[in-house]
Amino acid sequence: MSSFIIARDLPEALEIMGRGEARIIAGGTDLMIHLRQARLSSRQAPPVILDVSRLPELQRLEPGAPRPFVGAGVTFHRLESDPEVARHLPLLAQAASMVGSLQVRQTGTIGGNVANASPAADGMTALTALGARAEIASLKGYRECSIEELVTAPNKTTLAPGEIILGFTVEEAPPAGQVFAKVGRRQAVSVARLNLAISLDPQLGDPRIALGACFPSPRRLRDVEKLIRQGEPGRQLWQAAGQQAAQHFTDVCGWRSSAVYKAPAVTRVTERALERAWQALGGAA
Amino acid sequence: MMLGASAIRVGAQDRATGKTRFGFDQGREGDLFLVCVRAAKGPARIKSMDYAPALAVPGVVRVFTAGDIPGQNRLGIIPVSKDQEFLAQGLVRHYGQAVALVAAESREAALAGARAVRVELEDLPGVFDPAEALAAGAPLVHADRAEGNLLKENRIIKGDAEAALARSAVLVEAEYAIGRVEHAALEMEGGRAYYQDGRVIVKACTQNPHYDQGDLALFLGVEPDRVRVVQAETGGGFGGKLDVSVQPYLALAAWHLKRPVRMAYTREETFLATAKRHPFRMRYVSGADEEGRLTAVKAELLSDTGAFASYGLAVCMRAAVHATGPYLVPNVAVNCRMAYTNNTWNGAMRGFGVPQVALAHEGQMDALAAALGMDPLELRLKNALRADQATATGQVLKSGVGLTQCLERLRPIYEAWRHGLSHGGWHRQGVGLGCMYYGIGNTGVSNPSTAQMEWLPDGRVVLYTGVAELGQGSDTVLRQLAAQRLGLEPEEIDLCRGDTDRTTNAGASSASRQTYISGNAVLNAADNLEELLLTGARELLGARHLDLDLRGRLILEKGGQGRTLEVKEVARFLASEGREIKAGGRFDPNFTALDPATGQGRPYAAYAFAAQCALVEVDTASGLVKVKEVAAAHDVGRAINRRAVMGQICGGVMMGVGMALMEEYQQGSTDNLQNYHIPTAADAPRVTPLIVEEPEETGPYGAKGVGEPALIPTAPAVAGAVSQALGRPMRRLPLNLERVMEAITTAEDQQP
Repeated sequence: MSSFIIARDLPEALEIMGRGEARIIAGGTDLMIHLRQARLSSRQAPPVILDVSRLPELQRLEPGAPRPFVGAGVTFHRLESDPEVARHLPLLAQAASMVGSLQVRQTGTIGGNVANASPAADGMTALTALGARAEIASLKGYRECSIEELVTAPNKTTLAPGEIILGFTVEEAPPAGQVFAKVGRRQAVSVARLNLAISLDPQLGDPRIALGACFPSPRRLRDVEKLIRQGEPGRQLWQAAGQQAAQHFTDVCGWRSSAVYKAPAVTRVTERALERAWQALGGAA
Repeated sequence: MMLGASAIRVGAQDRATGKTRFGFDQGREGDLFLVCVRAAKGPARIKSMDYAPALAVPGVVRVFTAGDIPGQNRLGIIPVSKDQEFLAQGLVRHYGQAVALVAAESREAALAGARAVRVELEDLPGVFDPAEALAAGAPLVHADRAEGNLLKENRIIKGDAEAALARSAVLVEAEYAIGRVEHAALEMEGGRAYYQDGRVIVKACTQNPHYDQGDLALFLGVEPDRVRVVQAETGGGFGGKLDVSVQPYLALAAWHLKRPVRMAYTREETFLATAKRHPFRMRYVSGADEEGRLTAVKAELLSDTGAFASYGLAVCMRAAVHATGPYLVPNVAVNCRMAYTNNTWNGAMRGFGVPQVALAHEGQMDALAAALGMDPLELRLKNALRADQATATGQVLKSGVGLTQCLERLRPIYEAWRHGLSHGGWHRQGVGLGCMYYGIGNTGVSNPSTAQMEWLPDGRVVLYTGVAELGQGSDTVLRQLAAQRLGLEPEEIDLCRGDTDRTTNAGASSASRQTYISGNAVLNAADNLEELLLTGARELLGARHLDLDLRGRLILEKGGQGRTLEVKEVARFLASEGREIKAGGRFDPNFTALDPATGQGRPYAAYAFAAQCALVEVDTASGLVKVKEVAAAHDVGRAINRRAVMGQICGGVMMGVGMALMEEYQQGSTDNLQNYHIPTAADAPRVTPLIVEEPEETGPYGAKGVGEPALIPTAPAVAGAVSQALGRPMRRLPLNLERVMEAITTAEDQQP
């Protein structure tokens, strides 16, 4: 039997985490599934489950700040419905709106999405494209790192025992041409077969592309970004970028059976997302 | 209340407010909990089993193995193919088969006990593909069967298909395939059993309580009267609750332990340890003349029953009978084979093989239309079966042949959609059609239903029926029929349902048979009750030859004048004489068995017909298909309850969308609803149900059935629509991302 503790404030939460045997619960949309599986297979449940969902530090949401901040405990539903998020971080709003079901979005959090480290996590791919940095606290102090540094493999992070993700900062508000694309096996409540986060600026000086559910860990497609920086906006460039994205994918993952689908899908979904991001900036289709 | 009106469903409020206690919810404080120990591989030989460690787990009361079964450890719905071992007996025939049963004071203890049982298994060679299973030298799934791995081969031979094909102006030849599908009923299997006065009482979810009673008696080695089965409220079946599931385990444990026991499958167990829809591979050759009239259809069908027969015989025969679709086909050669493999078993699921063959016969109609340059709807209309024409089995249908009406109802919608198709940079739309016919009730065998009606001295009227209500609405419809016949309101009739002590056998709630067959049995019981009351009235009046009429609670002399009696006076009179006012009814559809060599005969008394039209949009960047609209025209004979009919149609369409686009059970990788996808509300098309009422002479007030027909045309219509959108025939289901993307890229590569 696990004990369930609702942390009243951050120092208390850090103190409990410091003892080293607590698992964090925020929305619980991943943890509850793990706990059920543990119960059915007679595996030990974690001795302590620490609820961080009421910590004010994790609820902070400042998308319009000079350094935008999104608390780890902010739910997807809040991200998809907050007008300030839609204005300043549309990528995150779009990604949040495509997570699971409304029920899942009302309880699932962006911090949990990253900490669970599923390669298909929609929120994680969006944060990666935004170049977000995770703010992490423990009894030893604070640290910051990029999403790519934080998540290293499926369900693996560099979080040390005792650490809590407080939230994510974005260095500067990224440009407005932002598109999040997701492909699942049905219209809703599906795990991404692939997801893609793109932001473009009118000069194509700082394009950012992250492709999810295709690699073991979050990944910016820097070769594709370079191609875009050096190209002329238009259909040919978007097509070439799509092909380069697929090339990147097969270079990293090889021609596994899933590539028969994913390679053409990455090509096409990337091309379309770039087309739409450019349109969002007012460019011609 | 008029017949055909939308009576509120019996039990609807309890379901909506969460008060209903389903089989899964049965169980009280102090019940023991049962959990199966399942083999982690198969086929395999059980080298040893040590359950002492399980008995050492606190709370574990007992571990049962096959040796504890007092009776026959071979069960199954079809009497000639009972082969399913509920606890493995030396051999594990498929992965996940139960090898032991743990009873404990709590679910947690039972789970821990089940994990503690040490089972040593030695791999045996297995076969997992039906074609390989039928090849010479394949490992035998049941070594004792003289026919080897072939469960059944059914042929339908009419005319000379080869000769007719040779003479045909156009021929189309193609292969079709469809995988296994899980029912995914909302309620997982569950129930409770206890022992009382030398009998075992089992209350569980089921589609067929009287069958359960017989098989449980066999299992325990006792007479059926030592077993009472009560149907718990059942949260969906779709064929998945036709086989017994938890019932034998409940009965076995209650019998030995003399304590109340409870069992409830997890979603994973429902996936692993209940039947799936049979997968089919189908090879068709169809011919037509210059005008588009079908000349012949030749079909080779192969399916996989898995490790046990379950409903395999029925599915094999029904698939063969329906293989050519609802069309006039003068020359037919169908061969359908069903093989055993070491897969988990397949069984009944909404449509019994007909949804599978419909994919093929409709794909063939589209291919013929393309070859002939004809409109697919016109081609179907030209070939649609009409009254006084013969089916593939040579059965001439006299009434209730409503396919042309269904197609005509669809026509304006179909034409509007075809003219309004949009194709953009990243999407393409298409329209497809699906037609079907479906024989009501079991194929070429007697499948009677019985019912009773009673007029109690206090004025209440009771309908006794063995019909299992699963959510399909039989409680409501049967009560409506009884009320209509007696001139009462449905609410005036109490229902006593699904209890082997109090009701008699109505057969399974399957094969879309209960409205037609049990509906007729209920009407027969109502007629007999009326006769009993009128006879009583004549005796009371001392006028033996008086011409009387029952009108609700009054008995009138025919012709208008003369005497009027209240039924309660008659009831009081009969009660004073100690006579029960209870009458039975029975109905068995008129049929002939199929000729074993040619499959010719009259396998069903009535057929439902339907045509559906689907509008889809394919996302050509991702391969994801959205079914935007479905119009569904169904000839139901007569809608007894319009809302229930529309509910069946909408639900069937949804299930068909799942089958068409995303559902495919793969042992080991789709083990619950997280990785086996069924459609969500966001995947639902807008459905336009169109009710066609072409009366069936033998039906209750002309009614047939709609439960399975609702599903059957959807997947073919969706497949046809996607084919049209992409310009390539889509003949393998489901149309998942991979298959659609392959078609998109292949089509583009082939463009000049």
